Order: sequence, then structure tokens, then C-alpha cells
Amino acid sequence: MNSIPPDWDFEVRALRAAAEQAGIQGSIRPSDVGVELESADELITRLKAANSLRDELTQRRSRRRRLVLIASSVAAAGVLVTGVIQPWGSTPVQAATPAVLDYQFAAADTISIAPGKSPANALQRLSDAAQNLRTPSKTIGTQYVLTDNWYANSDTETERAALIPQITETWLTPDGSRRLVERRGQPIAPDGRGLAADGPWNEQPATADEAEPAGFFDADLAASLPTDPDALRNELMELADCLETDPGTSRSFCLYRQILMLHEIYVVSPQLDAAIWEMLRDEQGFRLLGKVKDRAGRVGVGISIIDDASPEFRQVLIADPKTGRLLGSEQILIAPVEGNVLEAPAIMSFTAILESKYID
Amino acid sequence: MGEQEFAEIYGRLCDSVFRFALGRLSPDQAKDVVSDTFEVVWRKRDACPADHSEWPAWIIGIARNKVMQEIDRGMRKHHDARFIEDQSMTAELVVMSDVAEVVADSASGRWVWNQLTPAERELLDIAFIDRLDRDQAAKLLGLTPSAYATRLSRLRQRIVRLDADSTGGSATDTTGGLR
Repeated sequence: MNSIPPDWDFEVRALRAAAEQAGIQGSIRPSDVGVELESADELITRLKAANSLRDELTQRRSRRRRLVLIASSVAAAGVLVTGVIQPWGSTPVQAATPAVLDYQFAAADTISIAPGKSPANALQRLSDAAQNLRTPSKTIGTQYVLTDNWYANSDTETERAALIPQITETWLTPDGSRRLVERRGQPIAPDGRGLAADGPWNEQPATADEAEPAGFFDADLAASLPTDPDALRNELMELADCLETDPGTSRSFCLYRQILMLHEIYVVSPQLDAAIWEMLRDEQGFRLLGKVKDRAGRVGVGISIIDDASPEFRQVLIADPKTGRLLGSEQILIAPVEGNVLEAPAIMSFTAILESKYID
Repeated sequence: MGEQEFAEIYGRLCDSVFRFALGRLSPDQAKDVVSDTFEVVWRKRDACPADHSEWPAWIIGIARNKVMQEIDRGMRKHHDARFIEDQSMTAELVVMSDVAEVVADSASGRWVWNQLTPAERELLDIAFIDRLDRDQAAKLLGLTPSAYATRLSRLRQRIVRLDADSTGGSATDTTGGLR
């Protein structure tokens, strides 16, 4: 047995030498690959200018710019129909965006201003419902998730104009590899619904078929998360690198994002769902929007959050009141965004989780 | 951390953060990681470690999270903020598979790099950062200092073997009189 501790400094230098001898470059300056970093002065000037924005908003800045570009191209193509009243609802729409759903405590035309109600009791009921749900018989194997999604910035103008959502199927295998296949779905019905877990989309050719190698995901992440609400909160905040760890809408929104991520990648156990709803009960900013019929025609209950840092958007989780399972999410523009041609209220995106299960 | 200190630490570490990110991401994504990392440092500058010697580890830790978030964002292309233009995300994913083209300067180097596991690549990326001492690097990776040193040794041996395999030669000592 070798009881002599390795010489760290030697090992670092020897490793670098071995790597460089093998052709792996240790020193690559940005200019070597055609990148020019900001100077410290430029960075400080920019950060001072953006001082009032918090991290979440900052991260989305470039993405929003892209959205504006996309929306602009839609307008140029003549697809934009500002101010038209759709015959199936009272929501004024501009570009082709799905109808805003009507919630019990927030009708489509008041979604921008409806305060909602305290969610505490509803969240507790969701938690209880999930807790009482039987654990699926199969809890190992490949995690299969089927979602139907629509985005204001879908791939083609045709899809945007016809309100064609994207069906996304993912298979996450125990080794952490994942395959993702996307297909065009069926046009959304005028009332914004009509999605089905099984339908003609099955016969559509894939518009994307991507694979990530083993080790890219921690396949056990969802299964290993604590089911104690406080411990879960800490774990999710750490996973997400939430900047705000004190109670507030920023922390709540950070947790909201993590909840979505979990459900879109992993099969989430009823116990974890129960812990999630209980955790949210103690978070600030969530509001109950009440009963709603989701994009797939399922009865759900809407739980909404508006991040103080991005008050232009209302984010909604829709859950099944009978099972406590997450049914989907909605992102709604509720106030003007500078440079954005869309007028509030407008659906920016939605996701409907149609299936989530372990398969062989 | 004052403004002057922020400027100094940025000047000292921006290239290191870039190189670290470049081990997992495209050059453009690595640039974004540098920007995002120092934006966090700026916002958290009042809560930075009191000991200045701990700043590099603190900043690389932030960068590590940013790299993981960037990878995660790329993988779940439709998650949360739906403002991402899908076609550009697809392009980014394609670029990610070509990281080896950037970090290795030869065909054999790219082959060697491609044989390494993600954990080994990250260990190598950390080892390439000059400004971390052993304890800081070990802490970043969640290892004890001795376990970190042991893994460095194992990784070196593996790279030497892979290099020998790629060139058809035999593994030779690469310490080159470093001791």
C-alpha cells in the first residue's frame, strides 16, 4: 500500500504537461478563438447601467432581444393583426397567439390585473392529493416525458400563424443520456385547447431528433431530492444558484423555474410533488387563479407568480386538483415590454405535460 | 469589494474563466459565461469572501454553476423562459459537440479529449487554472485535498495511456523532470 500522499503541486504540473503533450491546450486566450471579452471598464459601465435589473432578468435580456427580432419579422411578413378581436373570446390579440385561458378568479380579459386569491389552502390540498396518490408500480428504467408546447417564437412563421404547437418526447435513460424528438402537433383549437396525448402527430416526421450522451444528466436527480419541504427548498435553490435566498418573489420565481425543469425532464414522484406544493405554500408572491380547463381539456387549478423583477409576465402552474400532478405551465405577457410588438395580454408560451412515466 | 478591486480581479481572472468554460461550451457560450459570472460577482460584491485569496475560488465556483446552467439550458431547450430562439439553440448544441476542435490542437489530441469523461474533463479544466490552490480546487469539486491529488495523478496516467494509444506508441513518463 502506498501511504505517501501525492505531491499536489507536482501532480498539477505533471498533468498539465501530459495533457499538453497529448495536444490538449491548457492556455487558450479568447482572441485565439476569435472572441473579444469586454474590458473591465466596459463591463462596469454596463453593469452600472443595468444595476436595477436582477439576475433572472439579465439572463433573459439577450433572449428577449431575439424575441423582438422574431416578432418584428412576423410583423414584416404581414402576419401581425393588431387589435383584432378573435371571434371565440374577448381577448384582443395581435400576432397569432393562443387564446388566454379563463381561470375561476382571473378571466382571460382580466388576466393582467386579476389579483387572484391566497393559495395556501389550495396548495395544501394539492399536496395532500399528491401524498395520497399511489406510487407508480414502476419507478426505475427510462424516464419518458411527453409534452405539448407552444412558443411565441416557434421555428417557422407557418407554425406561428397557424398556432401549431410542438410535441416533445424525451427519453432519459439511467446512464444520464437523453433523446429528444419533436414533431409538429395539431393546430390549436380556437379556444386554445384540443391537445391530446395520442393523435395524428404520432405519424408526423420528426422536426428534431437530438441525443445527449451518457452523463449529461443526473438521471437520479428527481428521485434523490428530499421530500421535506424545507430541505427541498434549500436543495432547489442550490441547484438553481438562486441569487435571492431570502423570501420574496425572486426566490419564488427561481423555485418556479426549477419545478418546471424537473417536470419537463424527469418523472416526478407523488411524494416529491407533495413536497413541492407544501414548499410553495410558504413562498411569497404565489396567487391562486382557481379552476381552469387546461390546453388538453383537463380540469386544473392555476397557481400564479409575478416576479417583481419582471412584472410584465405572469407565470402560471396548472395542477390536477385530484392528483396533485403538474399538468403544465403558461407564460403570459401582461404588460408592455419595450420594443416588443406584442400587446398584453398575450400568451408567450405554454407547456402541457401529457405523459410522464417510467418505461423499459 | 470595491470597483477598483472588481476591475483588478476581472483583469486577472477573465481569461481563466473563459478557458474553464471553453472546456464544456462553444467560444460564444464561454464568453457569455464570463459575462454572466462577473455580473454575479458584481451584484454579490458586498458579500464576497473577506479573504482576498479566496476570491478566485469563489469566482470559479460561480463560473462552474454558470457553465452547468448553460449546458442545462442547452439540453432543455424549451424550458422556462421561452424566449430562446430554437434554431439558435440547435446551433449551440451542434457547437458543443465540437468543443474538442477548440481545446485540442491535433487530431490525436481531439481523440484523447473525446475519450475523457465529463468529470475528467472538468478535473482537467480545474487543474489548468493557475490561481487555485489545492484546497480550493478540491473544495470546488467536492473532494478532499488528498482525493483531489490522487485523481490528478490518475488522470495524468490515463491521458498518457490514451496519448500512447492514439499515436500507436508506448506510454512514457511525461513528468519531464518536473520533480
